[in-house]
Amino acid sequence: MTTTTTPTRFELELEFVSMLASPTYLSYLASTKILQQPQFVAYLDYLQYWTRPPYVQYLVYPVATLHVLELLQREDFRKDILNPQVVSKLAEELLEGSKRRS
Amino acid sequence: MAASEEDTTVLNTPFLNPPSFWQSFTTENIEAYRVLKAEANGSSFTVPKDLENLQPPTLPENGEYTTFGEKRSLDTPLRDLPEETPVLRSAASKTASPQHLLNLTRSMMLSYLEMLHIMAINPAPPIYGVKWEDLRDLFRNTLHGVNSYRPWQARNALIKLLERTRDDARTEIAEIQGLQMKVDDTLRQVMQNCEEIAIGSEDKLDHDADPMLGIERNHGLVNGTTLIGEIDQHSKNMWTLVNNDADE
Repeated sequence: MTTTTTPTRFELELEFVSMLASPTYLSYLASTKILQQPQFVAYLDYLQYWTRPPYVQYLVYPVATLHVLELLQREDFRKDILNPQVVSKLAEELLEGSKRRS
Repeated sequence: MAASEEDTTVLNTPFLNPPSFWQSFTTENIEAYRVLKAEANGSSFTVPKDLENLQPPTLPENGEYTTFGEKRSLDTPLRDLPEETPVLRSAASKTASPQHLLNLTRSMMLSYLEMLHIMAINPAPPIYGVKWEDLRDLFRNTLHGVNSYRPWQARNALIKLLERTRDDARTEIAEIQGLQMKVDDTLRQVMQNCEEIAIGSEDKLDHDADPMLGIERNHGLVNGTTLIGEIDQHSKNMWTLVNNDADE
């Protein structure tokens, strides 16, 4: 960060949900076992406010971000993302999605 | 401001850790927040400091915010062309016409060929430089023209999205109606069978009872077990039908 001011909670959470759109980051999160913690699962549920206005308009890559946020609400996905094959499949899916839209 | 210890842990991982706010989401905190929200009943309420992280953050002022070190704003107007670039547009309209964009692309190709031609004869920069500048202006104008379509593109993307949602809803309604018809058919069949059984038992009653006494014809009692068995069978059939449809 180039700015000296401390980032606000809004900015921190925006950056975090944006990072979720990266399959590699998801696989890293899964490897830390954080996805199995009930508190973190509750946090993911709370983060769904990004799917609603006015917050949704601040997302830079809304399609990928919202897709992953939706997937993360499911327990089986939170377990399966540990599997590298699932990670690469998701990466393909997101890439296809962005291609289809352009 | 962060403790040096924290810095090292961040550096040790290949990725950033999630913001620490998630640690506030304990069962007790969630319950406390839920109670507060229920008490407020839709109106605004003050949240104690320890529960602050459980409600969505306040929006940035003026719609300006920083993300990944980049300043962003919700309101990004179309920037004008740089002053030194001539505006290559005959019509004064806001959006470039498709014909204009096509013309620009053709001019681009022509300028490129001209530049190549000049370079083949004499590759000194001062000579081909004029064409080079032409090309730059053409590219800038084209980009500006394409960008002027952004509001139009946003509107059309929204229209497409809404149309898709509408079509999905219509398919769903059609499916539900199909299922309803199937259920109706089955129910009608059940009714028909019931009537048949009832008629059968009525015949039996007619033989047994004295019609002159006007005995109430209670079919269910006479042939109760068979009737209930039939109904059970039919409701089983109906549920299999509904389940099969739900699986599809």
